Amino acid sequence: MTRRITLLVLALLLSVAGQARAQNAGQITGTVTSAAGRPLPGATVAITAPRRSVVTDPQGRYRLNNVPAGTHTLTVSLLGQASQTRTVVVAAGQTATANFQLAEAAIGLEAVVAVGYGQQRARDVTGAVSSLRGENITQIVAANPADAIKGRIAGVDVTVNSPEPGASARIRIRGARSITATNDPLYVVDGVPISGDLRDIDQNSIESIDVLKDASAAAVYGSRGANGVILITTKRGRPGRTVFTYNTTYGVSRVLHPVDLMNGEQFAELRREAARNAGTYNCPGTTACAAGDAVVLDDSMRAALAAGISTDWQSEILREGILRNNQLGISGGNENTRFRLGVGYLNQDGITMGQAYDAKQASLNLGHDFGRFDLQLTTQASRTFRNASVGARLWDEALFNSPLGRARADDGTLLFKPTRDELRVNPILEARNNTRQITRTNVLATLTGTLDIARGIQLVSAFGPQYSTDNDGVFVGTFTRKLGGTALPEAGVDIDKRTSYTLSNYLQLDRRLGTQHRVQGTLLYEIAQTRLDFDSAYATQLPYSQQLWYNLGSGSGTPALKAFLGETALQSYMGRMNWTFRDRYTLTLTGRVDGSSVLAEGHKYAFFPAVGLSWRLGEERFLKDVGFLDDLKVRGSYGRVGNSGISAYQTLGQLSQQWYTFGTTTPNAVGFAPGSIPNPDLRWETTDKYNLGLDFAVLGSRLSGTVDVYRENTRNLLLSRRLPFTSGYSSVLQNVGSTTNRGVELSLNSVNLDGWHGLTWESSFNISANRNRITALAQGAPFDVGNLRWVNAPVSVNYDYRFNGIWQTADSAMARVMCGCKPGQIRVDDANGDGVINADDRVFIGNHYNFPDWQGSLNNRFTLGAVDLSVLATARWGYRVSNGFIQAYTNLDGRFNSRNVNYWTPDNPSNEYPRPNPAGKGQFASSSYYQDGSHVRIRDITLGYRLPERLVGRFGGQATRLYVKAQDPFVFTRGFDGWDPENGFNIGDGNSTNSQIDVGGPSYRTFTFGADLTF
Amino acid sequence: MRTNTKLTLAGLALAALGGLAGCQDLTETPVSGVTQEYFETPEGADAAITGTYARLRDYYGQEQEIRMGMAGTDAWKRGEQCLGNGCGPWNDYTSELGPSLGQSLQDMWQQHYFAINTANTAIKFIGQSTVIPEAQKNVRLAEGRFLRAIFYFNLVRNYGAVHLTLEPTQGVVDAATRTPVAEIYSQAIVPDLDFAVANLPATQTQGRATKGAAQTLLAEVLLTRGAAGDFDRARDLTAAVIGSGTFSLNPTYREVFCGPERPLGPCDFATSLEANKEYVFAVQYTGDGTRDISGNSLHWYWTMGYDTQNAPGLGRTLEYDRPFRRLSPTRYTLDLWNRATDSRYLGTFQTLWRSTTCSSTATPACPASSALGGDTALYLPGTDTVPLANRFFVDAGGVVHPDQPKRYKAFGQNQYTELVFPTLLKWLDQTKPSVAAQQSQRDRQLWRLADVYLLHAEALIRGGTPAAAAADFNTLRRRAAIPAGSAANNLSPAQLDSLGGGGDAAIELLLNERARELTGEEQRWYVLVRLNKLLDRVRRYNPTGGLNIQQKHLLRPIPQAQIDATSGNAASFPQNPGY
Repeated sequence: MTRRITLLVLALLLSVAGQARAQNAGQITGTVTSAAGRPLPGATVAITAPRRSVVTDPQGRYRLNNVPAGTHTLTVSLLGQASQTRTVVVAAGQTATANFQLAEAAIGLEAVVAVGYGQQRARDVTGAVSSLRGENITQIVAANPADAIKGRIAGVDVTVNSPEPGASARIRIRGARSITATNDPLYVVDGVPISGDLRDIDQNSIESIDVLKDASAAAVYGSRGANGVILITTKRGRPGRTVFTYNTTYGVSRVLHPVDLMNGEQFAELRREAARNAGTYNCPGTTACAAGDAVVLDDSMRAALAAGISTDWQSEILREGILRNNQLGISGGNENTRFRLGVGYLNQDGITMGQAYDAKQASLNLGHDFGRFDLQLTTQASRTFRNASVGARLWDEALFNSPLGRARADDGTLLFKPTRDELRVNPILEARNNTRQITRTNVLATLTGTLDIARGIQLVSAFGPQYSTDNDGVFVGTFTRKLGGTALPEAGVDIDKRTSYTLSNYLQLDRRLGTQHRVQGTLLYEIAQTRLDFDSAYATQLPYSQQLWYNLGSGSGTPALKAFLGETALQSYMGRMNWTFRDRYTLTLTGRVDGSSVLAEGHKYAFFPAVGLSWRLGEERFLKDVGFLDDLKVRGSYGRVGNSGISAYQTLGQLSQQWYTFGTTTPNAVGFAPGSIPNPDLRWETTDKYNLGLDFAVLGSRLSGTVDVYRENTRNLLLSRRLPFTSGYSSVLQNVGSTTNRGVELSLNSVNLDGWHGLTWESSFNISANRNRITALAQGAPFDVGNLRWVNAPVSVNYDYRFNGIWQTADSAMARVMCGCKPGQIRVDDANGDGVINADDRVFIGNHYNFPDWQGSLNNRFTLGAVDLSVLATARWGYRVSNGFIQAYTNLDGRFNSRNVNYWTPDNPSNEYPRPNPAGKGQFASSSYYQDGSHVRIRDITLGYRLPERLVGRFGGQATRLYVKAQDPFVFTRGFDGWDPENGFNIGDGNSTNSQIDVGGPSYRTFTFGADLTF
Repeated sequence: MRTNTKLTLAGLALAALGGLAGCQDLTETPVSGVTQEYFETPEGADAAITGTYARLRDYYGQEQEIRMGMAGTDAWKRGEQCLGNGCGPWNDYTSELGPSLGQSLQDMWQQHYFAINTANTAIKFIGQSTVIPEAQKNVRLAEGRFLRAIFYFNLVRNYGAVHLTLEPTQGVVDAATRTPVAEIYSQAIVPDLDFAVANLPATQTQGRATKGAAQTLLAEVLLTRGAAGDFDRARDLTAAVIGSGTFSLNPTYREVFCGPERPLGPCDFATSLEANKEYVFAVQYTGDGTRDISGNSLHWYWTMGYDTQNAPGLGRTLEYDRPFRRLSPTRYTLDLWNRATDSRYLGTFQTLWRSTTCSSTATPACPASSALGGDTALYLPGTDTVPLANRFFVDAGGVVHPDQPKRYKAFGQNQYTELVFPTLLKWLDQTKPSVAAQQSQRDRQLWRLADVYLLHAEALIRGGTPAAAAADFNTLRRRAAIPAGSAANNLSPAQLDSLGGGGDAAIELLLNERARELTGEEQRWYVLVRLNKLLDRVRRYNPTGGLNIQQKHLLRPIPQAQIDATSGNAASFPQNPGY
């Protein structure tokens, strides 16, 4: 092994030496212009042997020095222009000239896309690949780049887990397919798979995002491709003068939908009604009293009511949020070396007290050519800092607290318990005295060396190490709900250190055979390892509070200590062949063998093959003359990909540990109990993907687009299956069952007006629909009620009683018979009509949150002279959610405050909400929370103005654009009653049967002012 | 030359690609945890027994025990915070008490079967071990079987016929059946306890099962089963425990639970109380919130809302505990004792609260000196009404007037509500870290010697020789008498004999005496079912539960999740009738 590395290094040295000996060199110069004769700056001019390239200057000129004498193939490419290739003969010591005039190309079709282990011309791609350029990503200013691609790519569903600043996002490509294993896509940065998500990437350093959706594309990632692959290509420097870019934004955020809560008087009446319902609205014992208020309201409440106090707790913890973002980029280079350096600082104060996010990111891209060897280095370093305070639970204090309580005493000091209710504390103190800081440090690098072995043959070696730590510190002060104002503070810290690397070595072949054939091939060996090292400490009874979690040893309680080490490894071989015939027909064959450590012995390896075909129909003679048609391509693919997204050691039966005590008063005996069932049969979950696609451009490329239809069959589902408790276990992870996803995706780009009275109007539109269903369950069972799974139903369903209003007085006899209910309680459908309400009356209620009918977006962009305006709208339509917000904050138990709703009383026969009851909402409560989550959201409205170049030039700048934008200014729903129909706080990994959303806090709109400067 | 170089390079590159192959090891070796093989080691088998003991903490000393063992009985009715699924339906027997009640129903079922699987695992691996010395092996085996009997006994009493397995679960099992109750007794509970009685030593380290514990449990099992000869065996077993000399009654009743007497007030707990010779078997708690996560949490479920009574200078404190007020005593319970001659009323309840937050600015103002020691804030004298002169003046609107010449706030028995009632002091623990803390370090004793006397008396009464039971009653009554040792409350054998063995009057007498001695400790619901008095007594004494209780409530509903997950569903694992 060592010897082989030595040989390889030797080989590299040899090749460098070989280059130095080249004496007989000449040069090539020329200009590149557009069809109209305008100089084209920024075009790449490349020769293949040796692999070299330069970029044209602002006058469209280029110069390639030190070119070996002989015949060279010169290729010129520029986004939006058709590439050109020409042969040039260079004589030793002479300068050859080659001028190019490029024709405009159809939008999107001529671009180069990343396909994993290399790039391909979009025209040759057989798989379903969608791309998004960097400028679209930075259109949305967000703490999480995932938020910025929301709604932008057909078939990619992005939902945020919480409106808290810096919270994670959930990305699903063509729906969710796995029930237990992960549904997260694989993220690949500059060719190397990473752990973590897009938050680790400096948003401004992203050149493009390519999404591999079907098997022909994703099969190169084999076992990890089942959920699709997101390829991130970072910006690189270009030869020429050094360019500085500076982007700055400043925005303020405000709550979108404040909660309509009961005021003091309404709350008092709620308590009275709850007491009347319970039959306790009268005087205790023999004490004489005028009214039941003496029982229902204590003296302080009565005093507050008399004084007209009604505290608006919500506004006590809401504030104006602030979003600041500053990004600096420096790029440049010369013929041999190119660089781009980016630094960014984003800072967001959430609209909820105590919540903030702060991200410092730096990225560096270095490229260096020396002869046959090309070295490319990408590094991303980020440190993010998130303050979550007490998190969403703060809203309990803000919304449950009695409006008859007061936040402050007469002298202005904050009251810890605003009322006599011991469970409720002042939300202001709760926010101040709970500290939670999540600090993430992430460093990842990709070092790619490319060696030209022979013409069209390259050896690529890519090494991608990544190191991240998450430091999650929690401090709970005395004056918090948890510690009740008496106990000494508690604190703890979880430290999660993850080290991983991927080493890929591959041979790449790219040859034209004659004039008709082009063959590209890849042969890969790859290993990847991840090591997760987790430590946790939690201490109680800390003597002083400013320490936070930095002196845990000072606590006098027994500290809780935890540690864990998990290691996983992956070993893979892959081969890919791409054969293009007559520039029209392309065949892609891919095969990958993956072995994973997390699977059971004997089931560790699997083979993932794929085949793809494309036909550029538009080039055929019979369509060549159709005037309006500029390009037409059909694609088809089939392939198999895998998913082993489970954590380490799940195939081994692990024991759970507990303490017990014999003899003394401290826990001194360690006990073990069976924790999980050993499972020697766990294997790969595999998905067979079929895809049919069409790419087209018509009307002088004014309208272009892509249509895809697909079907994905997932087998050997890794399923956490609920077992009868009598087995001594509650669940087991097994390969049982299968699912399918079927869907259709459409994206369109159009130029609606092209310089009409100087006005340009461009639109991009996408829409996608996905249908998911289970096709088989364990042992061929038709359903599994315990796990809420049915064959032919989606993997997540809403299965509950159907809400049918409130039992009215006139129906009291029927209510008693059907469910032992009383008037004023929730009425649900007797779905099977047997006259009794029981578990058999549960039915499916609409689509689950995870599976909307369809989703899409529409972006319109108008340009008139120096002014531009864009409006981006997204939609997610056709699903019902169990509205956790309503559930939590419409409790009507008379103890805590509630949303101000029309509840039932004997005098007010409401059909919306049940009668207040101290015992809670009673049976069937969950049936009343289902609501239509369909919505259209205006994501962004931006108005920009480009300063005149003369003015900018005077200050040494190249371009300056000023803009104002409104982010998320409006959400249109169909009667959705809550904070946001989209923020799934509790949704889990697409696997959860829990469709609850919306208890994470309110959504907000942001108004931003910004400037982009280039100089 | 050039071509050769190229070929060499390509060859080297390919060699590098291939050479790396096979370097990667995909075998998993966990470092941080242990797997099933650990049970095959001597330490592992022993740890499985410890793991089984630890599972006692899932049920005993937790709210589950309150709702399944105490709520909805003659002794306890709902308190003001007996709300939601965890309490309300259990006391009131409403329609919510059904298969889909959720966690409050499912937890006990689930945790008991986890415990049984742990016990089965321990029993199997200890049995197999060739390393553990034979003597120690049998003791550990006996402990495992004693614990397994506890879990099956609880399941049978709550659910009737349940799934029976005596082997650890291997692989994925989704089949389950309902084995008839009689078979569970004859195949599991009784043979397990026979083995435990035969093999457990008379004494062990505190917290481990002993012979006396196994004899007591077996006696209770036999009294519950009531098959031919069971009463006689129960009598002999309990007699053996009483006569063993291992256990003895504490000199006074109150000091079984509390430190040196503080008349009327709360309970001073000290760990020294737990070395008490009266304890036959106790689930061990430490109050260490890290390793003993919930601790014993019985302390706060019976505490009244003393802190919201506008009593002068009375705020929430650690020694009076957090008022969870889940359960309050029924009038039946309050009237059980002759309070003049029986110390057990004041040994059971706290009736006096002193000022805790007195300062010059306290609202309401602090009390003037009073007959009860000067700082009394709240007093429940135990009379049906309280003369107005002893109370603060509260006007018609409920407003307190501390300036009026009254001394402390008091309530008569007729003024007790779900919020105001004497507080059970047997579990109070002022050594908790804070008033808000759940963890109490008090051990949860499952039996003390007094209980063994009453089981002995029950065996005699139901076995047809009631007169002999008088001695058991009188042993307990003499200890509790005022003055101590007085025979004033004694029962005569003739009196008992006149009631007849096993007759209704005798059972009533037995139930009353059990409540006098053991209220707040015994799991009353099981006792009422055992003596076939649940429906009758709940209807008589529990004001809300009595309205709804039906025949079906003699068994609990099987959790729906069990039926749903069993292959064959309700066809193979049917629900209890009526649910």
